[in-house]
Amino acid sequence: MTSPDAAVDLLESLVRIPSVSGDEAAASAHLVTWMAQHGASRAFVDGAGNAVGVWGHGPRQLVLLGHIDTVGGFPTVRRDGDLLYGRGTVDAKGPLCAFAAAASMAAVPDGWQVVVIGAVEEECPTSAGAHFAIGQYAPDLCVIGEPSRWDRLTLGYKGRLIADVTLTCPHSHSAGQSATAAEAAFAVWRDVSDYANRINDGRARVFDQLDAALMRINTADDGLTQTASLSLGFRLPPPADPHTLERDLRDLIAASTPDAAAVDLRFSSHTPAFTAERDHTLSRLLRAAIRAEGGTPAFVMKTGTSDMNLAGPAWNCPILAYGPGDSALDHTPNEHIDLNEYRRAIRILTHTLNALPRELSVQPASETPYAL
Amino acid sequence: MTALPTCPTCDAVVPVPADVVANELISCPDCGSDLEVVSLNPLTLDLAPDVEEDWGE
Repeated sequence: MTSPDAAVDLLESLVRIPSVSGDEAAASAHLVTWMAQHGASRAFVDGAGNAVGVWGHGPRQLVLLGHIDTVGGFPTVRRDGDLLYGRGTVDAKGPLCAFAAAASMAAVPDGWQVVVIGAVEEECPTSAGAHFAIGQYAPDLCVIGEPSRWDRLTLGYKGRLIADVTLTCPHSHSAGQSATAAEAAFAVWRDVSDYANRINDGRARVFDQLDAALMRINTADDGLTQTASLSLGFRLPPPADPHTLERDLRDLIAASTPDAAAVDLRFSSHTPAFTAERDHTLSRLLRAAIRAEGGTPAFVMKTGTSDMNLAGPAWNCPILAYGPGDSALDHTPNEHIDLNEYRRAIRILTHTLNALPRELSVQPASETPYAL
Repeated sequence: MTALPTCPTCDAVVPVPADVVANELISCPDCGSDLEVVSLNPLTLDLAPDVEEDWGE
């Protein structure tokens, strides 16, 4: 039986192994070894590099899909009382280790197989680990491992689209009438921002709004040609379709670009938003477990994206995201987790796994993208 | 006979389906509040979880 202290040791040891997206092998091997030593009937690194552990046997399958990669930067790993600092403590080695610890502590009911996955490359557009896992499993239930706080269940994530815009125009004297490439770039950003504001008019919830962000802007001038490059990031509300948004942006940017400038547009990360059903077997089990821990459960909608955006539509099963930690600390130099919350989330997950029902009434999640 | 539970918002009696399960979400027919069946014995209702918003993943 895994002890709470062993679960904390797992998290701290995994956080001490850097695992920036694309370089997760050492961390995956470490987690696989731990799962094999803590009751998994099978533990292995799969074809994508994901760390996988399997507990229980049976036709019913619960997939606990976390991710083992992190963004860059490696703040010093340290303990301060019950706070553990370090990259990935919240996003998302905390939730992933809570999955593995709970699976090792639970008495998985007959007829159920619990699969813990530490997916690679969640923090980059490839999402290679999730794409591979989606083709390997057909779960009846799924929990995505992302920080929600111990007493909340995440129902949805916004979608994503990135536009890289390059404007090129002939060099001109600054005393002349021609717009510079930099001015043209700012005009594009102004028009894009206005477009988002028009769409958002009357939408009170942030989750329902189209967020447009100017992520980067660079200019260059070689004496013959001026160039301005912008990287625009969009967070899409449900049910916006990223391909429809791309079409609208192509028209908008073409119209706002001066005649003398040439524009090159590249779009990537086309991901629709996803919203899960809120009342099904999995949600009820988790809410009961949160109440048993003395909490008042809440649902939450997130402005970011996660592997739920991919797994939700693909698996079409009851799905939620859950995990300890404050997502406001994601990707920050101050990233840390309260180990009391971590232990609490493990108890809630263990309670949930122990209570998996023999009979399962499945209500499929709904997800239907449509135009803005 | 088991007494029917009341809505924590408006105090109306809330009819509960015969096959209701623990932690199922239902609505108050009087005020429309979303409710959660937090106990089957005795039948007890509480307000359903709020839907919050949060930045990040």
